[in-house]
Amino acid sequence: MKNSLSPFFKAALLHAFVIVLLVYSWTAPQEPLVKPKFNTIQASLVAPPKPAAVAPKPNVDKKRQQEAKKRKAQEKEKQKKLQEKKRQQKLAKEKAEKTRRLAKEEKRRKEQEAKKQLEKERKAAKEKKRKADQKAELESMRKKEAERLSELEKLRAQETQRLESLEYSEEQKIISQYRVAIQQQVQRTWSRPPSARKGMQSVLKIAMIPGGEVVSVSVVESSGNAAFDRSVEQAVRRAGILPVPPDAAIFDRHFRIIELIFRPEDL
Amino acid sequence: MYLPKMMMALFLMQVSVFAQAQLRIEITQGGDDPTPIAIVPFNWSGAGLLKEDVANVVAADMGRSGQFRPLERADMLSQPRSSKEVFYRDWRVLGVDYLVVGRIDSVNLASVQTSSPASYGLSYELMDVRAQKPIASWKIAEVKDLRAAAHHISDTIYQKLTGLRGIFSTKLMYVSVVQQGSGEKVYKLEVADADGQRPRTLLESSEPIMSPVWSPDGKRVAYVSFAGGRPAIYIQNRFTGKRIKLTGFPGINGAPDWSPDGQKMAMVLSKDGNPEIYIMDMKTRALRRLTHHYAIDTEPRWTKDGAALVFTSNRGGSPQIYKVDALSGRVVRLTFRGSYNARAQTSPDGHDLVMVHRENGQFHISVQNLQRDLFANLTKTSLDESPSISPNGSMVIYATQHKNMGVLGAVAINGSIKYLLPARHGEVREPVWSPYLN
Repeated sequence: MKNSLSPFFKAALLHAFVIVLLVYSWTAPQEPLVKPKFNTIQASLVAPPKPAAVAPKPNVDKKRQQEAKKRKAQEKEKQKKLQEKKRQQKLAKEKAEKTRRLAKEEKRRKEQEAKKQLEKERKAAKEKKRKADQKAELESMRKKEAERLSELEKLRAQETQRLESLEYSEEQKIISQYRVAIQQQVQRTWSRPPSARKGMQSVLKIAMIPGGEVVSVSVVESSGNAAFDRSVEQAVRRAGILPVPPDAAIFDRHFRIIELIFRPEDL
Repeated sequence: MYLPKMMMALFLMQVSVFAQAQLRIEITQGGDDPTPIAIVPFNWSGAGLLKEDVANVVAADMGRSGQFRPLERADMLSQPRSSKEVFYRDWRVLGVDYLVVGRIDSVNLASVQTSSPASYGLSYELMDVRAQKPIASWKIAEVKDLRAAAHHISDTIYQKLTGLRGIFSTKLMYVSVVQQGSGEKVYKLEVADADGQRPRTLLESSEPIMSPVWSPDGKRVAYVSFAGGRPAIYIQNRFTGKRIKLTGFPGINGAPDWSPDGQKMAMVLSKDGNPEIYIMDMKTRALRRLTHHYAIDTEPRWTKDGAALVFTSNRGGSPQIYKVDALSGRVVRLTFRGSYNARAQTSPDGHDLVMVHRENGQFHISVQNLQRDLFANLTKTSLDESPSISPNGSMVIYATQHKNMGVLGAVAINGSIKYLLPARHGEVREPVWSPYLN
């Protein structure tokens, strides 16, 4: 489509170019820059000389005075007529002017009215927008406030956590240290019976006194295999004293009673 | 975004509160050291000396299991006769976990007139030293064989403490070869206690005896004998000695194995050309050929459920273990490690495959877990052969070379203990562990 059209455009372009060239070659020597200026002046000059074109006409000698008188009267009349005409013209002009003014005024009034209406509408729209904006702003402020509050809450929580964790992490470190120590000790002393299988699980609850001496052992969850249960009890009793933190508070909180979960994974 | 975090924090807080209440520690591994146990010499209320030291037999049994370490008698601080006389502290000091005490009373004295041996009554107790309390006590009303009674006590204690049935009253069957002064070889089919003691000869022959196997009830045995110059499969009653010839086909008649229900006998015959596996119905004696392959198929062993057999075949180019469905005859290969795997047997729970495995030109007893991809050499010696698994699946007996002699070795299937059975004169081959006999 584009392809089929392009030759047409090309041809048109070529024609246009040739025409421009021709015109140029015609007008170029006549200083085309001046011409449009000249034209305008000519146009404005055409109008006024037309009424003045009716010029007085010279006549015969005797009748010359009469004629002149007549002519004077005529002239006068003519003048009068002219004046009348002028007056009329003026009147008409005034009338026209008045009509025009009135029209203009009407137009202005209408315009003003329209403008007023527009203004009114604009104002209404503006108000509406203002209200909407206000609402949006309020909403965003509320949102921001909520965010700020939540952020604050988060920070506070973090701070609390940080403060707690200062103590807590120290305690946790001690706990995990002894947790591993207990685990290792019990693993060393655990002799699993040949009937032990992966998937079996016994849970022991053991009570210790400060220093780690085991004072009671009880099976809280049986594996269902008596030999397995016996072997886990035996592992703890064989260990006898388990490694526990010397800090009395930590011992009380975490180690006085512990649970040991026996769950062989390598069988 | 904020709410879930809050909830998470709350949740974590609850968890930590919970954790604070109860520290939980997971134990997932064990040192698995042998459990220390003390078997106090049984108190004999009668006169004179007993023929058997029961406590000594029990201690030896427990030690051989690999799971227990009996306390030396010399280390005992006291020898209580019953739980009432036990000072737990004494045993705790010695690091003992369990304690066995017992007494033997005379029920009937030996009578010369009626030639009846003396009979005894036994009672024994098992105690938990750490928990400081008795676990159980038993009585044997009347028994003549003190050694058998001792093995029975071992079984009872072992089962109580391990949850697994003991194998101390089971038997071992094997072929012994003794070279006579004349240079002639004498082959004997023998049955001994599980500790290798008290061997009894079932059959003696100047021709080779091979591939002995137990019937599922332990009352009969089957074997291959070359008596008459050609191999034949025989079945023999262990108590009456009565025997029958089961097969005598031309060519190979070998490797019999009773099905777990005792109804069928798997065997290797070459009557149709090359060695194939057949199943014989023991009532009708009808034969059914199970394998069809131009390669050698041999050494069939039933799986414990009786649904399939494992066997050795060189159909893949080298001897490997295959499994064949007893009904459909569908074959799958089980072993892929190394270029020689033979004489396979599955464990009672069906989890393990025990076999002879060649590695670096040496033959070891190896175990392959059929569920997980685990493989382990149980022995490190070089000419180990003919593994046979104990009925509780805990031990493997095998033949090996020791000081240029063929002897029997035993190894725990978890590798925890290994020992040689006392060497007899001559050579021992092809040991087979009996089923439970009582």
